[in-house]
Amino acid sequence: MRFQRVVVQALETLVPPVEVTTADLERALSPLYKRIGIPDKVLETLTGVRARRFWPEGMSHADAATQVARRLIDRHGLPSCGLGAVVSTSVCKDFIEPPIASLVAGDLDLPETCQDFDVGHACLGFMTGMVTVATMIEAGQIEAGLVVAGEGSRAVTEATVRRLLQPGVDFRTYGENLATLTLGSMAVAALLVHEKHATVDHRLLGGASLSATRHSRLCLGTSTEMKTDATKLLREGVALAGRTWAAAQAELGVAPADVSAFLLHQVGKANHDALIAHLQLPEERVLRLYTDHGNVGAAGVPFTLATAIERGVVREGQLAMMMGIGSGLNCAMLGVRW
Amino acid sequence: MSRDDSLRRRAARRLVDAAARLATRTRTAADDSRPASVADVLFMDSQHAAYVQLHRRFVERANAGVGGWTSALEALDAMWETVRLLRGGAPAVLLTLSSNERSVEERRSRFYVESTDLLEDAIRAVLAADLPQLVVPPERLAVLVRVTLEGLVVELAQARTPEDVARVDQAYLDLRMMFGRLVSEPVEAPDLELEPIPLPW
Repeated sequence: MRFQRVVVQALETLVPPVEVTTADLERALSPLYKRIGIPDKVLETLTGVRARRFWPEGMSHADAATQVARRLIDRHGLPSCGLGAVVSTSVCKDFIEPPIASLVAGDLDLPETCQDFDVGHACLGFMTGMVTVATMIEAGQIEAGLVVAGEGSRAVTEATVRRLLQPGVDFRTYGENLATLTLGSMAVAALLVHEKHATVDHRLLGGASLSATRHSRLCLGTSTEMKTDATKLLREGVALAGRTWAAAQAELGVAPADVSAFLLHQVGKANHDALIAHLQLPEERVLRLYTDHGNVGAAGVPFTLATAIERGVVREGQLAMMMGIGSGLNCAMLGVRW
Repeated sequence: MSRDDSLRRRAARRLVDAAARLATRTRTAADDSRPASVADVLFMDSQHAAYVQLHRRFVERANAGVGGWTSALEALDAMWETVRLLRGGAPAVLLTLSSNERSVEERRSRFYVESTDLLEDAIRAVLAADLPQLVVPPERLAVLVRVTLEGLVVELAQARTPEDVARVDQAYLDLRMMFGRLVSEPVEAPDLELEPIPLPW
């Protein structure tokens, strides 16, 4: 997959205002910890997640996506050609219908010529949304498109804490629910345009995407809980990432030494360590943002790109690789020349 | 105990006594097929009144900060005391509890639902601080308490001698001790070498 004419005109993030530390969650869970003998601070030690953030109570996923889209438009404006599509890509959904993209487009009062639809691809959603819009631009169907994701973990985290405080919960149940306690919240928006409308030269180059759907049932999530075989998911995810990285290098004609930053999906310490080891990535070119944000779903990889730019890890003209893995199991790696 | 509490308890006791006497006088197993008698109604109403009274008393105590397992066991003792008053009329009470007459069944079902709800609510209030450490959740604990008390009524109905009654009393004390163990003791956390674990993507 190669893109010749697609530019990332703007990228915006919106960080939720409420920080909930892992220590806060463990304080809430202290009756359980005392009852079944879980050591303090176990959650951070096991996952590497020190904190995650919540949106204010009552704020919907669509609200988060709309707010970040509005911030992008306020700061960067829209191209004169207007938007041909708004694509929402979050794992979290407020409703089965309408699409979150419709709610965002409605709130932004976009014209009827603008398509609006959701892309559901678990934590790969944002990258797949970028590919979808880029493909539409390359095909001449649209001139510009907005990709958004509003992820929120307040409801699932609070439901999990309540569930864990019920009588009869044992160490095994705690273990099964532990991953849910690492989820975070974030909103991200990216404006992709045809190069003729661009005022910057941040190129979306393309890359590779592979699937291993024989593992599609290793992670099953609902709005209130998540059941996973995390060990197998990690093993198979890392193996798939190895194959995808090889495919992406071949497709883009790049080598590891060409890459300034490897923008991994933010999950936790063991996952980052395993990916870095398997792909033989240089630690200094990898950002670890899960420590303060947890797993922010589809917003993870674009948030990492935005942070890398903000911190100067990725500068003008440098190559960055967005590397996402999502339950399904799917993996995508996209190159961006910033 | 306040003077109001004492009066309320004495009133409940009189009601239960009256129900038991009436039941004993007016009922035998042979006439179980007739509609709910005054005795059936009075028995269930008196028991319901006892549950309401206990519920109010212990929720008030919990709201005043007097909660915890000791308080909960006192509530259980008070309920046992009420049940114990039925000793004389226990055989007749059994007929009420086992009657298949429709109006009795309906009243009994209502009584079970309402009394279990009251129990659950009182447990939640009295054991608020211990809820996460309960081995059995409040809704199931309420059923356990009700089933226990009903079982003891059956035992009382069969008690013929003071020794029989003493055995029922001992059974209550043993059950009471077992209820006291439904809150688990904190377990000391082991000193573990913890390694980061895989998380879902």
